[in-house]
Amino acid sequence: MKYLKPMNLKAQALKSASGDGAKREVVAMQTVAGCASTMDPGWEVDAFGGIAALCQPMEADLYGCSDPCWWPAQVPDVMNSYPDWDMDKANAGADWRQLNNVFPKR
Amino acid sequence: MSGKMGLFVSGVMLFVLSAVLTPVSANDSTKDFKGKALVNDYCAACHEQTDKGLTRISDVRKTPEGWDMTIFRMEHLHGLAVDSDDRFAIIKYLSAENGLSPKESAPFRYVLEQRAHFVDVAPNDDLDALCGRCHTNARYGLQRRTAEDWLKHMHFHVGQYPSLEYQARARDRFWWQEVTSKTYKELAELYPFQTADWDQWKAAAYKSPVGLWRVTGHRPGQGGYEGIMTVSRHGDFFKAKYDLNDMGQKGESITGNSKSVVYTGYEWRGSGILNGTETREVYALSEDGNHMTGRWHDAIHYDIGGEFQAVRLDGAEAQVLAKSSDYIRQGETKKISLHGTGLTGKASADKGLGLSIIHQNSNSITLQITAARNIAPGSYRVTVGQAETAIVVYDKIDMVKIMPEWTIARLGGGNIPPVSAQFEATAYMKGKDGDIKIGIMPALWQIQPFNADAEQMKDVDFAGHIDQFGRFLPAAAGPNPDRKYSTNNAGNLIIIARIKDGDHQVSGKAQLIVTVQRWNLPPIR
Repeated sequence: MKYLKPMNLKAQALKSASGDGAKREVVAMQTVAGCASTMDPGWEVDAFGGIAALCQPMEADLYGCSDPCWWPAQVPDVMNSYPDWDMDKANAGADWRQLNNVFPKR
Repeated sequence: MSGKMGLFVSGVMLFVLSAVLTPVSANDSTKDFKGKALVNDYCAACHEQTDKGLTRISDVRKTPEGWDMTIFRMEHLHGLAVDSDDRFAIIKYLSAENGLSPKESAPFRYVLEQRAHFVDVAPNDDLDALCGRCHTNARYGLQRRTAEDWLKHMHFHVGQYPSLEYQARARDRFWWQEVTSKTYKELAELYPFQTADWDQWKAAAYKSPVGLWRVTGHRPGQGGYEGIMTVSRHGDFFKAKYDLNDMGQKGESITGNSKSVVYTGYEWRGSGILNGTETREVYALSEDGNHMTGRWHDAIHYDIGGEFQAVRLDGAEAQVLAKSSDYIRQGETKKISLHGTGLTGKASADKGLGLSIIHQNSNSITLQITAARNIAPGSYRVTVGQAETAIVVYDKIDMVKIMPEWTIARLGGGNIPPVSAQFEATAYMKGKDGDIKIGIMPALWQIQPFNADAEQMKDVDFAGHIDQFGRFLPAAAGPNPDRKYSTNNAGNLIIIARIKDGDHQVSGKAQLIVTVQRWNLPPIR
């Protein structure tokens, strides 16, 4: 985090953990195949190798991920690639069962 | 050989091949593809013809799955309309003309084989930050591009996914400056378009998979299996018939068949049925055409499947490919079957192991093995003619390791199936020169919270359960009103396996993250 300054508690925790070696730096280099290591937080696993810092329930902010193309490898981006993915499913908390995988099943 | 004459000749060859099971490593001379004309028909409207070929397409090499994903992108984003027969022919042609050699795809087969629990390692920190934070490292490792095309790949990403530069691990570096001055060159060196290996493979005659194959494999959580696969040719496809048996106590027969395509001369992709379950097969034919290895999996639940290895029966040497058990305890008498090829010779063992033959044919031998009470723990040779294997004799279990040591499971529901996590417990004993692996053993399975957060959120109560075979089945997806913050049924768990050893138990631990589903499920992630 050469050019960034932590502004809140979570960011401070991340910086401290990185400094004292508690953050699993290897998580970034070694991840279960297909897991996003974009730590803001991660989609599958948080920066500490757990789940406590993930957005949960993720449905509360799911369209906050798909609209601005956040984790596009995991969540279809509505900005450019799949504009109709969430059409007629305005409430992710209630409509998540209707959301589809975007790559056709072979 | 090209054009109509080529098609005619290869048609004759196909007929001959399908009529008779061919001998060892018969060459498959059907390298002409109708896909060449189709690529021109479908792609040339946008991709300009140059002296090298069509722009972009002729600068890239990919796996069959990679080309399938490219065609999907052209359909989805650029309005390409292609029917399934033409799609198949185009993928087959592009995989042959601009594919990957067996050596090039070898390090990344885990992603093609849909191994949900493989831990992926980036070549270096820069590439991990650039590509690995969204994709597997196989995603780019399974592509070959010219330097110019790797640079265009960078431009494509920032155009198609513009907010990627705001995401973490991109913000703390001048990433665009780096990728457009340095990284694309690095990728072109690591994964170059032009290689002697590919030139050689492209020019080589393909080997036919037609024939009889000796199959052995392992279904995690269920044990080994063995049997025969019979492959015949039917037009552009191959058909496989499976006559297999579970090596476990039940010894159930596993039968079925599949229809497959062999891309690039070695990439076997099949769809089939095994004991009533729809399956997909991802195997690689060896360069000499006499071995096949890979994985098959449930068509819907890619996390459930089996390791697969096959040896061409005709001409195979005497060898042991699999055993019903790898170990025996001091003083124990145990029935162990060895499975392989050419197992007709005399059976013998190192001093200390007593043998009697219960059953023997060329593919299998079942032995009653007795380990003497005073035999020293360690590895003991068992031979059947020229074939050799080893059985471990142990006195006590010192340690248990769980594989995988760390992995994830995914919640499922709605249109997205869950992804389970299968664990196996392996017993070890201490030896003079380090730990000696005894083998996979049945265990008692349990889950515990990984840390204080998991305990506070009662992850154990909500995230799912583990069955008696070590398979963790995640709970349902969606917000759970019974949890604090209505959070998902995610969890951070310790997996514990306890193996009984006489009157006490030895345990091992692993970590499991139960996490949320994903909605983007291409074959290469």
